[in-house]
Amino acid sequence: MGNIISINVIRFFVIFFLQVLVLKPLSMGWMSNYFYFNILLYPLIIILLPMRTPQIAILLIGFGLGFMVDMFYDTPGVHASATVATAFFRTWVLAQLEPRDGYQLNIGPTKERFGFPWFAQYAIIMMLFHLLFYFVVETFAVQHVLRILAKTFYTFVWSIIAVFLFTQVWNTKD
Amino acid sequence: MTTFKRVRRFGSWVTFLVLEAISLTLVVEYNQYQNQIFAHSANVVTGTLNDQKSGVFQFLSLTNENERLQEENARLRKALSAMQATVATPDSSARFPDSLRQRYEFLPTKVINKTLLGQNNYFTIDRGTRDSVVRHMGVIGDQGLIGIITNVSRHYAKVMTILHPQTRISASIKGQSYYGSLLWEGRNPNIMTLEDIPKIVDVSQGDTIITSGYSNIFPPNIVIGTVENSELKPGDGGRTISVRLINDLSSLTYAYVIRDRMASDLKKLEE
Repeated sequence: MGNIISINVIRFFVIFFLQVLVLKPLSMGWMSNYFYFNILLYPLIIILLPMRTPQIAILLIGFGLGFMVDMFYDTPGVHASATVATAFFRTWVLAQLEPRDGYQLNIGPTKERFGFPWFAQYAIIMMLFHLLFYFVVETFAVQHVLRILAKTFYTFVWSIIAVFLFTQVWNTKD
Repeated sequence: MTTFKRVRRFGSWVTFLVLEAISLTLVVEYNQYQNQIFAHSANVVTGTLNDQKSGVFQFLSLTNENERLQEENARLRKALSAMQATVATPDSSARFPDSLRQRYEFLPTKVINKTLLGQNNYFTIDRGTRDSVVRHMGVIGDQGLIGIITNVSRHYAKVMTILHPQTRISASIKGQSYYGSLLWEGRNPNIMTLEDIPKIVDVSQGDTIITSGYSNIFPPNIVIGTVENSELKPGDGGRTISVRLINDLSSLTYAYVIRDRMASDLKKLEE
């Protein structure tokens, strides 16, 4: 039990610093107007929290995480609101993806526990939701639907690759 | 569903709504009064971290930067010798009146953090109140404009780049006296829009767009970019010009803060 918590705490900081110190400077935004390059890996922290984390705790962690990312991205509230929404959405997604015999409580929703296909669909749903929410709040205007979708699509492609790479390297069970 | 479960579910709904409300308030407030509320990246913690980080990433672009600075040197040397040729060497005993002294000072600085991902784009530079940098000073690169300072801490300052919906810069077409206001429509980071140019003005593709100097933030005659195309606005008789920027904000590291020595004088007068 203590182990699963310390893994998550360490992973929180590793992913967070990876995001703000490495991935942010790599992300270029619009490149020559038709290609948007931005990698957002930090939702993986929320995705991988242990099954038994109380929902209120997930929401608070999500808010804290989003707020910290906002400090570095100069976007007050935007990452925070998206991460809180993703944290709230997680409970519902996990309920939809629940295996017939239910979840074990003391584990994390990882590919080592549930297999790659399960983890992949879970991560894809969560990342898509997060990015869409993020770009809607960032743009803050509904008339730019196409641009929101384009940004979401490009960012999703790179971010989901980053998620799978990270979970390939950091392959603890929880 | 047991009562306990129901209470817990209610609790998480409330938490969700409260946190979401806080975040969205931050978004809205910040968009309105972006100067005061969240002066984060100019603060010491993230500023220092960004400083370290830019130190690590900087050497990757050294060759490029070197070439750019060399080009700039060459340009300045050329301008200097042209100047020397036209201006006779002044008598060393003559005293210049104040009004002829250099009006603008350029303070070299390094960009230590950039946000070029969204609609509101900011840079952080490593100059602050310690170097007598204050709000509303202009920042330029080796070529082209960068932005206007909005927040200052002791060691760092935050720059609202020209790629921001609140940017309005007074600009004109080289060789013509008409001026308009330059803004960013939020789509292409290489294109800005020059509005309110009278219909009668004759523009063609490739014409140079320069600062007009009317705003007291940027000195006149800094090259901003070139005309991409121009179209007549229906109705009010104005002309809207798309301007292709001369500089690429994503690739630059060094910049200059512009200090206008007449700024306080002018401000006093205009109030």
